[in-house]
Amino acid sequence: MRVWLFTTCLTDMFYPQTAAAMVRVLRRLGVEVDYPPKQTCCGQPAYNNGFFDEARKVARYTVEVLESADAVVIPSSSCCGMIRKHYEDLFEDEPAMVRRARALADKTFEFVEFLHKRLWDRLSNWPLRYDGTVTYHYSCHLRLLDMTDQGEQLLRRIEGLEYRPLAKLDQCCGFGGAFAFRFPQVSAALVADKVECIAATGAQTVVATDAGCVMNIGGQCKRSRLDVRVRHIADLLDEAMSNGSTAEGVGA
Amino acid sequence: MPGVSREDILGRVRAAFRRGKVVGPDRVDHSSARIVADGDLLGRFTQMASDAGMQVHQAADARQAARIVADVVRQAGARRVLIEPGTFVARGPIVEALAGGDLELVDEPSDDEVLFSADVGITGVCGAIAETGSLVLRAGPETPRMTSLTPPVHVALLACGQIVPDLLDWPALHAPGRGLAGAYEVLITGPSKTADIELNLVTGVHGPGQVHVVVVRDR
Amino acid sequence: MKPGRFGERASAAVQDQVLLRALDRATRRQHEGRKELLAELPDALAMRTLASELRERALSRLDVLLGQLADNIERAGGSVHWAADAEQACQIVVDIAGRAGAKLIVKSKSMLSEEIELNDALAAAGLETVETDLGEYIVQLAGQKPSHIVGPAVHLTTGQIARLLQEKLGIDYTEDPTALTRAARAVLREKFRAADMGISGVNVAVAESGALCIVTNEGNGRFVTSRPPVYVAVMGMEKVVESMADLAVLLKLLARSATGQRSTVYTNLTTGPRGGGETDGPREFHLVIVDAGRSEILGGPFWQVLKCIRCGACLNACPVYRKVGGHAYESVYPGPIGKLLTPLLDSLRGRAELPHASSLCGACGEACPVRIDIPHLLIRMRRVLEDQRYSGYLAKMAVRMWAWMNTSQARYAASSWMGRHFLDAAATDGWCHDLPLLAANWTRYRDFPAMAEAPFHKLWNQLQSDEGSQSCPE
Repeated sequence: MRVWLFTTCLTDMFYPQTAAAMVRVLRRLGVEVDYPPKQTCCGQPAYNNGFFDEARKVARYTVEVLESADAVVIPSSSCCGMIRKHYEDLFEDEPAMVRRARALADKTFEFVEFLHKRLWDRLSNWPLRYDGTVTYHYSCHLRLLDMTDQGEQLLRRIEGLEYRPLAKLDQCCGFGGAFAFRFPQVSAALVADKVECIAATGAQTVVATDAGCVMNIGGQCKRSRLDVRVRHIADLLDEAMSNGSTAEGVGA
Repeated sequence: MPGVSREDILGRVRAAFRRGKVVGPDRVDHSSARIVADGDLLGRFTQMASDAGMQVHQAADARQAARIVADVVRQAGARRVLIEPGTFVARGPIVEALAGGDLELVDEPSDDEVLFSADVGITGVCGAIAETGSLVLRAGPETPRMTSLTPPVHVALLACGQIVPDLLDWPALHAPGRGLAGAYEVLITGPSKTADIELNLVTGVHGPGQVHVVVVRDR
Repeated sequence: MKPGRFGERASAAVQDQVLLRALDRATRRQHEGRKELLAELPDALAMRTLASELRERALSRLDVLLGQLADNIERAGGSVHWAADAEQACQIVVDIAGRAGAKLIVKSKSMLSEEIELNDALAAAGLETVETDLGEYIVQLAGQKPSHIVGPAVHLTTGQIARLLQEKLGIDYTEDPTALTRAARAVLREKFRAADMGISGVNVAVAESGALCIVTNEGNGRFVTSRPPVYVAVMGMEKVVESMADLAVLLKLLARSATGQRSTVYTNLTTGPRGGGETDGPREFHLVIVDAGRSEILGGPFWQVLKCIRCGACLNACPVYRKVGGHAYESVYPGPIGKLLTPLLDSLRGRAELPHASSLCGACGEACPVRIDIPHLLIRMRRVLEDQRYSGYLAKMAVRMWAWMNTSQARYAASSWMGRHFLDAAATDGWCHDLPLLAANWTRYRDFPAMAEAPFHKLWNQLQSDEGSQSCPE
């Protein structure tokens, strides 16, 4: 199995260790991982705000960069959703591009989705260990992909991990890209609510599935001096696999 | 005369169709919406109606139904009871059971005073729906609209055979093709209620606060 | 970025702790209730898809269905009136009242009547109009506007309502909801008894039977449709479906989606005045079919919003609505659907802030029983606005520049390098507390992370040589 990694611009710039963690996880599970170096951004920021021409330029570029892959894996459901669901919308006047976008969409996966659809069995044979209390917040765009529960399922498989369910789990953290800047008080009220719910679980770590959520929740935890680690699920899974393998003596 | 003509409005709709891109399917298949097809309709009805806050009593026959109704009336401390004039299951025995004593049994309220001061209203139904636990009442010359609305307690008599499985079967209770067999029909699924005051549930807002359904099993 | 009216009102609303608590309780209770009851259905998605299809079919045959509806009502002895706009609709109703010599009117909740400002027109004509839905009655007494499609008084606490009824009805102060309800019930009962005319909205009209369906939990709808001698229904022209089977499907979803109930308590179905031999029921039956901008929407790219059955599920699901409540929208239709409807019915440019007031989380689209893809339509509306340079030329240039930077790896790498240095300069221990300009909107409330020491695109080769694997072709 061979995949190309699309890190997303936020993960590339702010959380490169998450992308590295993803690579390690996939390689341990026997997947060949490559990284097309020309990648930039999926174009969502422009699209979401109604700048279709500009979004289309970036989307066209991204289709060209990715379309020769066997499969593309992305550590963000919002960017995955952009490619899967919205590229067709952007290219609606160009049938040839629609075909190319659709072909790309058919082989593009969000990280947890890819684990769930292609690697679940292999993963279940890998001993996973992480000691600590963990809660989980899923990115809104996982709704689009119908993948909101799989992250929790994954966490529950980890030995030693005490899972603490989050109240108001399905409520947005308030990031929303431009929304956080256009409507700062509402966005702030939402992230404060989310972090209050996180604090109420007493968990040491909150696991999220999107760089935007990690930035937003992380920033709020920092400002409110809440001692909770905010991590992407790939980072935690990487650690759990590494712990598991040393414990069982299985090759990394 | 204020307003415009029918043709004016329909013309605007047609103009919109020419301008825009409204599309809809040629046919719609409702069968995927069916929740109840068959099975224990009485059991389902009883469960749903109770969940909705109605009190469901089962009577083996009309005589037992009349006894149950008399009990409800007595427990309500009723002085004046409305009973709709039309035929319905167990009506005869009920009238017998309630006659005499200082209870006033009224089948045609002479004025508003009587209508709005009645303590209990007794009606039949034109059907019931197991899926939702609803009663179907149809207005007519012998089934006034107000009997089940103004008194604080409503007692409905239902023959077991009147229960249909699903809301999709509701139209079948009407004259074929028309969908409504008169000017007014109401589905009743519980006592009147509101949660408008900070989500606190209060019953008996405008309609009856108590609804008793007496199911007569041998019909 | 200067906040518009919504931004200002939203900012004020999120400070109001009382409001926040009330909204949170109410919306989440109904939202959880909806999810629970939809989970009971054999296939909720299939049913929602069916509901979407039957609404689309009805809209695609709207002229035929409206004609059929009108014919059937007239055959049943009712009158049908057609209004191109709000003013005509109000005039029609006022005239009906005038001809009937009506002085006291009882009303059952109608969003459309709010939209056309019917109560103001009736008051101007010297008529007393009483809202009979408890929440609407309370809001009317308070001189306020309703804040939620289904629970109009959701923004008021019991204490506030208690004080209001004490003041307006002269009852003793009590916070017992039952006592408060009984007090309102007594007043409204007198109104039902004495009313000359009843006015209601229409949840759904059925063309094949000429019947209007009005749902309530309280029973006021039954009184309004049946007690006064004259009954008037006002309806948006899009609210019609073809058949009773269509109605049954919508009813299955309506209460579940709105308030987490299997069915509303009363589902009224009525056509025409009192039937032959009936001893109660109205002697006059009127339906006023209102366009007021709907045919315009029908002919445009946003026609899907006309599928809406006004259940309020999207309001309950929306994180923004949950934090700011209905009044912040300054619109008859708040919440996600309102962000589309209000600009469409009122003014796109004038209400342009609304479609931007969304984090595009998608909860609304997931909640909608007729599967209106609200997030998609919001983005479409933002596109229409940017085509009109809503955010200004500077923003357009900035986005052009952004697109240019992101269509070449070298330019992207350069811009990320610049970003990293800029944030580094502003950061302490990896976090920025105080960024300038637009970014200040973030750091006013929370920290912003500095970028990583090296981006992944610089780490890849390192990772490769560590692992000794092949790279992709350039």
